[in-house]
Amino acid sequence: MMLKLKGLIKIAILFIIGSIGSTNLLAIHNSHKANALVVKDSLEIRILPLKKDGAFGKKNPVKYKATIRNRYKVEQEGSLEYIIRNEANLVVMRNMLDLKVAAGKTLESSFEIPFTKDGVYTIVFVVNMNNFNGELASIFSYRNTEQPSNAAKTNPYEYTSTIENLNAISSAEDIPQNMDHAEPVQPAEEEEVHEEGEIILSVKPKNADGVFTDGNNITYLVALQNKYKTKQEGTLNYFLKTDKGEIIGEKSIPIKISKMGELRLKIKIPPVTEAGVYGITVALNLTTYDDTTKYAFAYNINQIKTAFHVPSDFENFWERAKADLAAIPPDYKIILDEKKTTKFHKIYKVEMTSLEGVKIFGWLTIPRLPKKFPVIVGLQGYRVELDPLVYDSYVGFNLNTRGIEKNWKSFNPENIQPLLINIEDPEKFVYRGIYMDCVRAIDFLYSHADMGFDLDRVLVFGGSQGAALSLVTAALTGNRINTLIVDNAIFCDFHESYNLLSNELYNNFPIKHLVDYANENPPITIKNLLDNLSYYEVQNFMPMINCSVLYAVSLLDPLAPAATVFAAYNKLRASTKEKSEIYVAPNLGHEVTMDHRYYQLIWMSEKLVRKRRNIGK
Amino acid sequence: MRKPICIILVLLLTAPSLKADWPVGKRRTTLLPGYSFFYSDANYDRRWNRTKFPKGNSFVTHIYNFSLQHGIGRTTDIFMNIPYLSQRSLNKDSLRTAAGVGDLTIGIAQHFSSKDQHRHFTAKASFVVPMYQKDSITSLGYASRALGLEVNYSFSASAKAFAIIQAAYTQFLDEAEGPQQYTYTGTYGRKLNAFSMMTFSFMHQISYSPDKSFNPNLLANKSFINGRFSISYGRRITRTIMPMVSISTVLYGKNAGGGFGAGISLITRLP
Repeated sequence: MMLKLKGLIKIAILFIIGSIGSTNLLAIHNSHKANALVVKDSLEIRILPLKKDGAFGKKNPVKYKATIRNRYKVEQEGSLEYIIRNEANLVVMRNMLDLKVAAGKTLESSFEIPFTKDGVYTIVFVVNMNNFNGELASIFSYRNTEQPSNAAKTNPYEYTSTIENLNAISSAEDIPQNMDHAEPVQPAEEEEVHEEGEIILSVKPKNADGVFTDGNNITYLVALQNKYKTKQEGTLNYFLKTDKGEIIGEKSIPIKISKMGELRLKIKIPPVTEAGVYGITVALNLTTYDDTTKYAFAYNINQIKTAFHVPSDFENFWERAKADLAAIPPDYKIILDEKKTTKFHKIYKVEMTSLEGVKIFGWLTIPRLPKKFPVIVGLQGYRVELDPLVYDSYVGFNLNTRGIEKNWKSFNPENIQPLLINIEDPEKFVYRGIYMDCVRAIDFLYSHADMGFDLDRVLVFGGSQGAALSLVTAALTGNRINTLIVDNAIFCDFHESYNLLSNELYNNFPIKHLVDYANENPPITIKNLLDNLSYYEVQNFMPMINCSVLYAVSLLDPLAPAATVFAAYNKLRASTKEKSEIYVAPNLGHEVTMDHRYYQLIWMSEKLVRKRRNIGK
Repeated sequence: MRKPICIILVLLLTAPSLKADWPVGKRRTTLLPGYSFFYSDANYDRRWNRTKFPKGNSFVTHIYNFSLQHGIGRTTDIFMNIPYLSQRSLNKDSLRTAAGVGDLTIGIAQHFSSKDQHRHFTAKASFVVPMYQKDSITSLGYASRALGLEVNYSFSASAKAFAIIQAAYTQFLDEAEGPQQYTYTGTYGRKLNAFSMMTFSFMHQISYSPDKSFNPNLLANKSFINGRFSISYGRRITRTIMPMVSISTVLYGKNAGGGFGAGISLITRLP
């Protein structure tokens, strides 16, 4: 459906969404006039799903195309935020993209939304451009045509819901994200060509994972397809940036593409010598098309190192915390949930008392088969409440620490960022309790082996905060865990994250909240906060981990700066690294690929094969 | 006049094969002890006609089978199979029996899997060693070494189903007449619930040989065709053990035996 301007309006802002399909166009809203067009001077905005019916799936990832035509005589700058809500109206994903359109130019950009969960969703686009604020909503559906999670169950030996479970735990965090400057714009492939045409840009590192070991030979393969019916001329500029955002190299390449033509380039990046994560900004300025996209690569990841900030009493601090926890009777209550229990799985709500007498709970799921099962523990992301973790071949135990909404009020009546609760005192900081909640969960398992737990085989996994909690739990529980699967661990190094703030990508959770807190609460300084957080930096726990780790890093992660995540990994003991693996996604933000999810399934299976030695020591 | 025929069809008839062709997994093992029997009271002649045995004649074979599959890598498995056979042929006034260890099969499988682990292309090579002496009357097989090659494609057919398309070639080596055997199998499996599943399998087998002569012991018969259908049901009783029962029947044949079979096996996945 295309909306056109009439009357006195000089120039319209067109919000065109989901033009085909009755389910797709829901509403058009903006701050000035609901359900109608709002007129500003010369700005025309269209956002269309690349698949007209809004029905996406594995073969047709969620992609939209934004067309912003700026007829102003001045540059327009702002942001496009998208918010995806499920049928229960809960936010399941949100992200923000930068917009900048030069005067008289048109920005046409296809962007992929990394969303892969089956269902029907509402997507709201919020556009904020200089003097304009507006939003609109649309519906899209996503269905894995090959149904990976269920299909995986058809292996008669592996009746697991692994992929679903990994996704559920590792995604959908309620982390407030700011400007996601790094969101790569992925070109639409094999999609319809709109009348206006477009430029399909593909920028890929020569090494698929974006990791290079030869600083003199870092190469990108660039492919341009001109879908316009006119010749395109202009430049492709790229800027090489350090992780701090400093430009250390740039080049401008003249571009000429015939109508409907293609152009392939091989770009050799200026040599780099220092181990680290580097950004590449590619700006395409053509006759009728402008686009800026961001990429990243990592050089010599084994040598990415950051300083430890280990307080002198670090070990003692956590020994005391564990002693405090041990002094509190756990008061386990194992309650069969009749509603959730099925013919094939018993599902229990397990309540327990943790540090400071706080009640926490987890969901325990046990297949209704005799004998013992390996145990898989899921730890949650920031402010995420986990549901039962159901496997057919494993016991699942999803822990909800004190950080969830339902039991949050007593800690956080003013509903401030949980990260900031008691941050001024490391002894009272909320994460002292949260870390101990995880230890208590492991205590629970080890005190209830008779429920069918094969404690020779225990896996802990999580993404983001869940990854941080997994790593810390492994460090604080000795040799009680066989293996970890962690994605995009946050809290690795608050100090280094602060040092990277000059890169706008990282002006984000969690470090942004710390800076804001310090600014708003003098005489507290950011140094005070960072000193306090030294007790909680994940990197300080890394040398204490004995078990194998499958460790995912995304180079464009705005919440877990990749350099800090690499550096934390490099702080594992050599013997631990030997049995661990690192996976790098070059063009992703705070997420991992589905391919990695499948690899996690293999890892899970392999690492739970062998009994762990020296249990409990 | 054709005599009642002692027939032992290939072990796959009633002894469930090692299920599907997903990689077993590195350092994991699948054990498959099983028992099956096959009862024959008819045979198919050269014109595909089914003829009942004279009243009172029958052939029964019991197969105690043991298979093992072990993952030596993420995508590479080794496997072995060894049967113990006991056959009993009742032919009017005479009863003939034979028993012993049959053909030992050892082999290696290489899987080429899609990243999402939904599709697997598998290539297998195996070597068959007879564990018995040749006897044209009571032989437990061709008493010949053989080389087997197989390719199959297994995939998730739907949310709760899988399918396997399989083609195998076996060349018996010790005699000029072979035979050469081609086996084509299609299997459809469906998960019934969290712990149980069913499979439906159809197999078409062609055995070529210059030796067209008919041997009443079909195991010594080198030129034949047959088609069989089987249904299996399995339910896990522990995390690692799934008993599976199966029934099967010969649908058509040429120079082949007709009858039905049943079996039970314990698919045991370790650890």
